[in-house]
Amino acid sequence: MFKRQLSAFGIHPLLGQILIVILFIGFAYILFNRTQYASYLIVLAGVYSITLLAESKRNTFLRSIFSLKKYRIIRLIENIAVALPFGIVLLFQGEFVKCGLLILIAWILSTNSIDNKISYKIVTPFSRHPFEFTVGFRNTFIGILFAYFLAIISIKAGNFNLGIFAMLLIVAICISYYLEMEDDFFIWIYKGSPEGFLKYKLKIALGYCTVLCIPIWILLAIIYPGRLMVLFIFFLLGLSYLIAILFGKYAYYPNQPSVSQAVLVGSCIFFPPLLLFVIPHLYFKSTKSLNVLLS
Amino acid sequence: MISIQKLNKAYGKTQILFDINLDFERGNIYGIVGRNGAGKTTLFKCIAGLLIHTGTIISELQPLKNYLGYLQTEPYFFSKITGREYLQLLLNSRQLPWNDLDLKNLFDLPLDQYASTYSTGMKKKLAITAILLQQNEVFIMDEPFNGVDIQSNIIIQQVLQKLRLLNKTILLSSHIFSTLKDSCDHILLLDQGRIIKSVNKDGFESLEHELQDVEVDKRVEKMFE
Repeated sequence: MFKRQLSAFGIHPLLGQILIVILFIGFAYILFNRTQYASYLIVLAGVYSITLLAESKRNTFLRSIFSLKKYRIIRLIENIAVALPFGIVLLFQGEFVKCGLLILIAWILSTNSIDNKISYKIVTPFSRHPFEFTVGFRNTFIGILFAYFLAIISIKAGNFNLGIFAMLLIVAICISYYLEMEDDFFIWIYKGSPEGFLKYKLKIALGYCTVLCIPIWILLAIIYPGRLMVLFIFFLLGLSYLIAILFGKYAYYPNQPSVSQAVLVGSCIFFPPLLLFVIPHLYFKSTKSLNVLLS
Repeated sequence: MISIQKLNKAYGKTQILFDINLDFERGNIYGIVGRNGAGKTTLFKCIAGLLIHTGTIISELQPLKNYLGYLQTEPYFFSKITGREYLQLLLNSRQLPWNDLDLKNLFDLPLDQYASTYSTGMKKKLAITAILLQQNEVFIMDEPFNGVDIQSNIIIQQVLQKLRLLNKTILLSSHIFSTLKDSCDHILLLDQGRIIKSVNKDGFESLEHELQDVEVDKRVEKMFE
């Protein structure tokens, strides 16, 4: 299925897998060079990846077609396979305890399923305008709390850059709310033009993302009043990426962006001024694509 | 009134709908019957504007989609969205207020529970509630009775009659012929992408017999040979 997803993305499966390995190693290398909390982030990323396989429906299906013994072996192999790259990075960095902890979590989660059908409701400040932030907040509130925690650490450690990282982490979490394409029904229901639709989505994205960033903003602005401009520039940059991703989501609708399109948006990370051209380009493409459903 | 002329739809080289010509009047309930794969959902999606097609759909309501409530066969719900938030989402999309949702909770649904935890019937009831709250003029309901309990079935039947009285246009499909017989003014038979029969109340009995005459016994026997 993973190979098919790579093919659908327009990339050869073998090349895709090699690229992912290179990106993973590169990302881990950068992380360990930039922050002292890299090992925690690696454990967190590992646990998150494992939980993706712990979904209840999926495991009920597996349990229905395999014997209990076989099912447990399959789940253990799956989880260890997913945890392995993260474990290797931790071992390489000499973080033996954290590596052991990750493997332990992988084993525990192989014996349990995470039921999506939890009946208790996670309270969200974003329920007035479903769905991206309403659903996203409930899925990622731990990540948001973690970002706030990092911001507090940045103050304690006197590390302004870590504070900026915490703020950008919040923006990155908000961007993740716009990575998946919704059912066409939820676009079709909107009464208005494609421009109106995009304006509405943009208003929610920018407004709610700002709301989530405000605590970090205030904290950093009080402690580092002299660096307010730097904070502001990074904040604007983060919002610009959010806008690009939002427009990019609908620009190629109903298809997922191809490699060249992803490269176009991705290149903005390395050369942000490109956003000045990419955002209007994606906006006009979005209005065209949405015209089919909203005209 | 909605007038469909020469509607054709193909997925690649596979033609699904062939030259559909239909007129739907206000204050009428139209039932569409047909086997699985006959093209009912595709026809509904074309009318709603969810699928690109050839041919024309003319309506006094422009654009039609802004006045149309579409109940999908299997309504989709996001994993962590409550029933109340789903209703808000559909009302926000039409720029309508949503202050008295509890008063208009037609099926007594647990609105503060995640909609994804609802049973099939409850999901359908939530989706029906949403399109009713949208104050639409035209309703397309794909299998509205599917998975719904008897009491709710009766409520849906009553809702349909109320909508008819309010001069709305209603199109619905169902595999339960008796429910169509009770609710509809006209029934259309769709077979392999073609409307092969259109009957009003007088012809319901004969259409039902016709549908029952399909030789299924031999197929079952072949399966167990």
